[in-house]
Amino acid sequence: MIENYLKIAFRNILRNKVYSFINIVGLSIGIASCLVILLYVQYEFSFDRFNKNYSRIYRTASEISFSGKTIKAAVSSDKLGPALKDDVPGVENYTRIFDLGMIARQLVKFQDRSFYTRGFMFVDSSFFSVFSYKLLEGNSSSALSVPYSIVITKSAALKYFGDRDPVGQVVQLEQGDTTLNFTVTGVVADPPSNSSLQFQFLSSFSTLYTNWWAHDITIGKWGTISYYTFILSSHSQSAGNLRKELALFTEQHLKGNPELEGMSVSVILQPLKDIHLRSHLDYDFPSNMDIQTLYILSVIALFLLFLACVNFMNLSTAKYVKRSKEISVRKVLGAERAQLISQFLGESLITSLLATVLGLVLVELLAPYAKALTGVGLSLHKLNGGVIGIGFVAATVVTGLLAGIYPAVFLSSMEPLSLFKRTIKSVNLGDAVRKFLVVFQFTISIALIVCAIVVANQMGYIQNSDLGFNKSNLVVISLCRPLWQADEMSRFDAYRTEIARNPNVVSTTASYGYPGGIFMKSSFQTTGKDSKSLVMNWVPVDSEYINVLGLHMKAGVPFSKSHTQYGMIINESAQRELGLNNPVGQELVTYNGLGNCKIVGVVRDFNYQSLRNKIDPLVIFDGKQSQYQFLICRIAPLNYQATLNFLKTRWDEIYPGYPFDYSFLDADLARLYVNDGRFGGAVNGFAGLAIAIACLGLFGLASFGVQERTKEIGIRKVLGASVPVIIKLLSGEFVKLVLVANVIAWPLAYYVMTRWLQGFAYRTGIGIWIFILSGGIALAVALMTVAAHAIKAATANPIQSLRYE
Amino acid sequence: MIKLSAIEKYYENRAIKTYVLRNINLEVKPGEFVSVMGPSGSGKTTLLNIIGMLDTPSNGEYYFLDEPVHKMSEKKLTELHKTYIGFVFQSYHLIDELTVYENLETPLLYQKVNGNDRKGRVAEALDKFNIVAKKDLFPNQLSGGQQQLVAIARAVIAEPKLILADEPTGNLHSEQGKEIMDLLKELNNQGTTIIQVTHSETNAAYGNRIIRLKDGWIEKA
Ligand SMILES: Nc1ncnc2c1ncn2[C@@H]1O[C@H](COP(=O)(O)OP(=O)(O)O)[C@@H](O)[C@H]1O
Ligand SMILES: [Mg+2]
Repeated sequence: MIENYLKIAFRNILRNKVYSFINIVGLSIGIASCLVILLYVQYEFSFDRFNKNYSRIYRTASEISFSGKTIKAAVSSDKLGPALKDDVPGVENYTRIFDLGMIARQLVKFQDRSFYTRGFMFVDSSFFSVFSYKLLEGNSSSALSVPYSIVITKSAALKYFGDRDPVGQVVQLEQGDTTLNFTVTGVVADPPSNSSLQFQFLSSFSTLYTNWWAHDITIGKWGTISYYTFILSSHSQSAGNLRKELALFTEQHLKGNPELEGMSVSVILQPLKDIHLRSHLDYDFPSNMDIQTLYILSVIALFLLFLACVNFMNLSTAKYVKRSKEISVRKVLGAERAQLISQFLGESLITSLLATVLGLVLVELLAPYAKALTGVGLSLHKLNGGVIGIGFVAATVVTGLLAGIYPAVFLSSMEPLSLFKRTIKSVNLGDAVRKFLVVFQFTISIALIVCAIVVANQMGYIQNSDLGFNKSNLVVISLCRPLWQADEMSRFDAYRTEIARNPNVVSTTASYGYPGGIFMKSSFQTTGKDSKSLVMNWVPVDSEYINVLGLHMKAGVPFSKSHTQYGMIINESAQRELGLNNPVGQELVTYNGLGNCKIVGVVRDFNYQSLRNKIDPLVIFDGKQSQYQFLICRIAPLNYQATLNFLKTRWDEIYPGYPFDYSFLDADLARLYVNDGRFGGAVNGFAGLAIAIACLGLFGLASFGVQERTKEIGIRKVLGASVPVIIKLLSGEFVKLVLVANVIAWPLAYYVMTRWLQGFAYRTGIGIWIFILSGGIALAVALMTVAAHAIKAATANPIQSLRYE
Repeated sequence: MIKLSAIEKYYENRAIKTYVLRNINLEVKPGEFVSVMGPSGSGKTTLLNIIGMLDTPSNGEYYFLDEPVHKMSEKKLTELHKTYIGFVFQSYHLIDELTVYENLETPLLYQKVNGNDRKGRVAEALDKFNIVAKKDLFPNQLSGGQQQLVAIARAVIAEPKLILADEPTGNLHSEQGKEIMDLLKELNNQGTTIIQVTHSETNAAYGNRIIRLKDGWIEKA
C-alpha cells in the first residue's frame, strides 16, 4: 500500500513539473528563512550556557533606594562576594568582575605594539572555577592571585607576542599619566561569541586594592556599588531558597549599615542563564537583548513558513479538480477515509522532505546575508548532528502536516459522486478558502512592503536631514594621552601645528566630545532670584569648535582666540528650559568645579544626538583643556586618502608607539542607526520573501485556472473574443483579490509603522503615496505573474484547446 | 438481496423539482442477472448509483441484505464497496496516474490481500482479459475499448458478490462485447449477482430479467 502511495506521489511530482517546482521551491524558501531565524533565536538563547555550571551560577545585583528614587543595578559592592561565601549556606564560591572597558577603551602596550581594547577586566582567581573559560596556559588557581598579574586571550597573545611565549612577559596599561605593568601568568581561550563577558585581558582583582585604584576610587565599603559579583551555588541549593537566604542576609548585614551612607540596598539574585535575555538593569552587559525581539522573530519565522504552506494548500485544493476522479474511484473501490488522508499527507510529506533538503542548502546560502543582518555567523555546522536531525525531521513533519492536512481532509470528505460530477457547492467551498488564502498572503506581503518603504524613507530622512551643522569631511582623531601635563599639552600643540600646514587640513578643533559621541552631564543653575537648576549635557571645547563644526549662532558671538576662559555657549533648548530671555552676559552656577561662568552666546539647536531623541539642552564650554579627548579636523573634500596618510605619518612621528585612531564623524553618526538599518534590512528581506512566496503561489493558481478554463477560452475565441478580453477575463479575479488585500494591509501597516516612527523625535510622515506604491508593486507583480499564463492561453490556437477536451 | 420500495429521485432547482426516478419498486434476489434498459436520460445511471450506494434517493426506502441503507455508517458503506460491490462505470473511471497493472491492483490493496496472492490474481485477470501486453501503460495510452476492458477487469478482480455495470460493452466492438457478456454470464453462473445497463437487446438477453425505464418510471412488462 505504502509502495503504491509512494509511486503515485513521485509520479505526480514528476508529471506536474510546474506545480511541483512551485511547491518545493516555495516551501524550501519558507523552511530556509524559518530555519535561519530559528538558528538566530537559538543562538541568542544559548548565551552563557557553555558554562558547565550555568544552572548554578547567579549574579547578585543591587536594588538601591536613595532620596526617594529606586534603581536596580547589575553591580554590587566588592564586599558582597566574600561575605556571601562566608555567611550564606549554599554559596560555594564567588568571583567578582570589574570591567574597565565599560568606562572607556583602554590602551594596552607591549614594547612597540599598542592597541585599544574594551575587554580589560579584573577578576578573582576563582573566575576559572566558577565559569568554564578554558585556561590554555598557567595555573587556574594561582594565575590571578597576585596583584598586577594578567591572563590574556589566545588571540590577544598572538597580536602582542607573535610566537613568543606570552607567560612572563610584561604588558603596560596606560591610565592617565601613570603606566601600570602587568605580568602575564596565563593564556585563556577566546570567549565564545555567545559569552556575555567579552574579555581580552583578565587581571587579578587584588590589583584594585593597590594604591593606583583605591587612591581615587572607593572600594572596600558596602556603599561602593561598582563591581559585578557572580556566585556559584551548591548542587543542593535551589534558587528559591537562595533568595530567602539573601533576604535574610540583606536584613542582617545591609539594613542600616553606616557604610551605605543613607542608601538602602538589597541583593537581587539573577540566574546566569536569564541575564542575556531577561535582564535590563543599569550597568548591565552591553550585549544583552530583549527576549521580546526573539518572540517576534519566532512568530515571523512561523509566518513565513505558513505563507509557504498556504501555497501548498492552495495548489492542492486547486488541483483537486484534477484528482477528484482518482479520489472517487478509490472511494468506490473501498478506500477508507483515513487511508485517503494518509495518502495525501504522505504526498505532502514527500514534497516537504524534498523542500527541507533544498531548504537546508538555502540556509547555508543565506547565512552570509543573515550575518550581515544580525552580526552573528549562523551556520548549520555549529549545531551538533542530533539537533540537525531533530530539526530536519521536525521541519519536514511540521511543514508536511501544515501544508497537507487541509487538502487531505477536504478532499477525502467529498462524496464520491459529487467528485465525479463536481457539483457547484463543493467547488465553491474550495474556492472560497483559496481566495481567502491568496488575500491573506498578499495582505502580509503588501503590509511588509509598506513597512519596508517607510523604514527606507525614514533612513533616507536621517541621512539627508539638516542636523544644524556640517557633518561631512570631518575626521575625528582620538588623543590617547591626557593633556593635564604641560609636556603632553605641548606635544599635542606640536601635532596640531604640524598638520595645519597641510592645505587640505582646513581647520581643527579639540574637544571632549563631538556629535554622535559621548557628552558629560552636570547640574547648572541660573543666578538671581527665581534661580532655576537643570541637569544638562556639557562639553569642554576649544575656541574653534563652533566654526569647525559649522554651527550657527543665534545670539552673541563664537568663542574667540583671545578668549576669556570658561565662557559658555548654550543651545536654544537650554535657553528655553532655563527660561532665560536674554542669556548673553548672564552667569550660571556650575557644579563641575569652575564656579560661576558667563554665557557668551546662544547656538541654534543642532542634532548632536540620535534623531530618535529630542535635542537636549547643551552647554558648550570654552576651556578645560585637560579634558580634551579628540582632535576634530575639517579636511578638503578631495584626496581623502592622501590627507589621512599625512595625518597618520605626522602622528607616528610625534606619538611613536601610540595607535593613530581616527574615524569620520558622519560614519560615527550613521553608527547610531545600525540597529535601525538592520531592522530595515530584515523588513526588506521579509517583504521580499513574502511577495516571492505569494507570487509563486499565484503563478501556480493562475496556471490551474487557465488549464481548467482551456475549453471555455477556446469556445470564446471561436465566438470572437479578442485577446485582451480574454486576458482580462483570466486576470480579473486575481486583481480583485490583490485589491482586497490592499484594503486590509494598509491600515495594518499604518498602525505598525506609526508606532515605529514614534520612536524617532525627528521623523518623516507616512504619505499616501507609500500605500499606493506598495499596492501598485504587489498588483504589478501579481499581474505579471498571472498575465504570463493568460497571454499564453489567450493567444493559443482555439482548435488546439478544444481538441484536448 | 436488494429491495427498493417507492424510491424517488428529484433535483431541486429554484423550487422546481425535476424528477429523475419515480415510484421505483424493485427486488433483486441473489444470483439474478438483471438488465436495465431505456432511452438516454431515463434515469438508468441514477438508479444504478442508488443501488450502488453512491447516491441517495429523495424518497422511499432501500434495503440491502435486509438492512436499511439510509441507516448505514460510512464505515459500513466503505466495507460494502470494498468487499461486496464491483462497479463498471459508463465512463470507465480508471485512475489516470496508475498503470493498468496498478489499477487492477488497487482494490486488492484496499482489501489487504497479501503480496504474492495479489500478483497472482492481477496476472490472472490480465491474462483473462487479454491485456498482458498493456500492463505497464497508462489509461491515456489505451483506446476506449481497452480502457473499458481494464475497468471490467478491475470490477471483477475483487470477486464481488454484486456487479453493477453501466453500459459495459458500449465502447467495445461486437466480438469483444460478446466476450464480456460471456464472462459476466459465467460469473453469474458461479453465483455473482449482476445488474447491467444496456442499449442492446442482444446483451439484455443474457440476463434473466429486463427492466425498462421511461422518464423515470418502470414500464409494466
Ligand atoms: N446533478 C444533477 N442535477 C440535475 N439533474 C441531473 C443531475 N444528474 C442527473 N440529472 C438528470 O437526471 C436525468 C437522468 O440521468 P441519468 O440517470 O444519467 O440517465 P441515463 O443514465 O438513463 O442516461 C437526466 O435528465 C439528467 O439530466
Ligand atoms: Mg447513463
